[in-house]
Amino acid sequence: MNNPIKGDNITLSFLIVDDDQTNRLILETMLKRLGHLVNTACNGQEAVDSYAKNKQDMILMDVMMPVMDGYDACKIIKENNSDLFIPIIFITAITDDQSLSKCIECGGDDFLTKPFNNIILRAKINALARTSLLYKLINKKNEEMRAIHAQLQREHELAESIFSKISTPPATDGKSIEYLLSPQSISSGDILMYAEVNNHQYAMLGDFTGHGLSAAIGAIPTTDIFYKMAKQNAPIEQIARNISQKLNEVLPTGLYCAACIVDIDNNKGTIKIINAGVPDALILLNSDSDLIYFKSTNLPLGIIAGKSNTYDIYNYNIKEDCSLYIYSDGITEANNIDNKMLGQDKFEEMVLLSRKHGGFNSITKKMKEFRSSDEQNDDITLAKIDIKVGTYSDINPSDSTNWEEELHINNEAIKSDQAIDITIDKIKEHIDSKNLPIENNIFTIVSELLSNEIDHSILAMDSSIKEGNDGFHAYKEERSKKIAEINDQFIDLSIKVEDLGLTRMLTLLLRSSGTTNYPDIDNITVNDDKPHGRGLHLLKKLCESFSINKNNKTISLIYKW
Amino acid sequence: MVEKNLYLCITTLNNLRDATGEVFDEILKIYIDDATININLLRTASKENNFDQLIRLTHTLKGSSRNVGAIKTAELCESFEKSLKENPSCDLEMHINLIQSSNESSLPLLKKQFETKS
Repeated sequence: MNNPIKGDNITLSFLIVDDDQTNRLILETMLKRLGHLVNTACNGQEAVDSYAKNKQDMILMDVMMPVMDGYDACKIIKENNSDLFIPIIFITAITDDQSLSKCIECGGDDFLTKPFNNIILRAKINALARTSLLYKLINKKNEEMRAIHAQLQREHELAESIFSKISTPPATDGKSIEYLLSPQSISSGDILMYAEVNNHQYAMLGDFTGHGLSAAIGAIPTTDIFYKMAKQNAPIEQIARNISQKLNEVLPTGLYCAACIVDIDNNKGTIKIINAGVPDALILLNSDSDLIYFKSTNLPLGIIAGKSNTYDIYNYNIKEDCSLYIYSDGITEANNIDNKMLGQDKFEEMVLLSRKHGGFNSITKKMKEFRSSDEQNDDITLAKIDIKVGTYSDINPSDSTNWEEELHINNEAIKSDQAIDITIDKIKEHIDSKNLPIENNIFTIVSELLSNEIDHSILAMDSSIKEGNDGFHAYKEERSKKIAEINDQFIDLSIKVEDLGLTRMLTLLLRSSGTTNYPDIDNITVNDDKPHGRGLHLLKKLCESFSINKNNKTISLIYKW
Repeated sequence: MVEKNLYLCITTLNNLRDATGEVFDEILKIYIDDATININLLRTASKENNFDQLIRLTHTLKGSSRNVGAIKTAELCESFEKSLKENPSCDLEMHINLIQSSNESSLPLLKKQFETKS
């Protein structure tokens, strides 16, 4: 029986603490024959020092020793390593219950009496080893969980950092917009955007379902699209449609963005509002009068995809100085200390009172007083946009009889293939013919005009690529490549709609940065054998008049209905 | 069945031999040497009336004696330890003499164990 035996195939390191050499040698031999590693100590102080250095897996501790006894040594070792499980077995010749009880009270986990029994020793060691291993496994899992939590916390903070940068309006002179942003927790699900472009004031309030990463994911493309399209003076229907399309693509099912998008056109004195799922937008006139309401009449953004979505748009004519209020449901659903909601009526009361007493600050102050604590059950966002009445042109688009507009389609809009959509949306705001063939004709005219200009004048595409097998695919690929590389291109489109009594007339005058030679339109023919060359012919056929001035490189057409 | 005589528990000794193998002889030699030293230390402590030392040394000798099966010596140590705690004015010299006597009787029997093979 000379070979050491590894009990349960686990090699442990032991510290044997006994002032008697005989006892130390007996235990050391027994443990080594079981395949374990052994250090020894002669008293409690040596034991404390040895453990601090070597961190053995288990300790066998005598009680009565010089310098420091086993009780004190056990207490110290346990206290110094309170986050670890260190099995300590007292080895003792003591037999009275009180002394044995003291072994456990000072932190010992078991005791072994003398004479030492090899079988009992092995059984006790194995039992405590299993517990120790379990403890180590739990500690390891805890460490992993802490690391994952720390990682999530960092990602959360990153999302919040991104979100807070993009979800608040850029600095303005402070005169046009005042706002309150109060997130419920570290990261908010609300965003507020504002831009002043070519005498338009664009604003968008968004309330994403969820917070943190899910809101940040949606906020990034939303702010990107909003600011790009505002810069192009795009119609808000187009902005709403594009944002909704993008959110539908990126957000998980069940997540969306309730929103209110506003275009205050100070050139024409109109306010256009799309309310898609947020509380009523309000206009407060500076004179004594009731509030004007703009209720939600559209689905929140991101629920439905599709470039053919239509939106209900409010059109309001500015007749006097006023303020527009847009806000998230965190305002009306704010709770006070008794858990009662503020409600729409009370909020409107605050807005009305603010007209003569304290303005926007009075509303935020009253909100704070109502809540009376920092706890919130939702994100709170409120914006007030001041609108000054101006001098407007006689052609009032809300009249819908006569209207004209100069549309500048910039390089970005051409590059992102939005030129046709922008133009169609603009025209549809002012034409409501309720006649589908008329609408289809107008769509065809605008599409062909702009497609022709972009493809042939700006991109200089060769239509003959379309011929042959796979010709359209090749054409499309070539077009994608060219359009990605354009710089400083533009199309200026003058649009005029006139009411002639029994008929209405659409006049389009196009000028662009393109350079291609235009064909002689009087001699345009269609070759049925070729898959191209029909666009200009179609325009000629649909329009009352269609002409190309090669000298000043303009195309003009008239369509009547 | 536990095999013992007046001074030694042979069963304990055999179990120790099985558990420690080739180190058994060394263990017994260390015990024999340490027991003699401890008894001398007991006499010194007795002359000095150092009761803490007396109790500790007696306790230590009790434990090591039990481990090697020197049961008579272990019993006498236990008795002495109890007397020291309950009756400090007990006859120290008498107890120590008894322990020494038992040790001297046990030693030859223990030395014989070196020659005993399993």
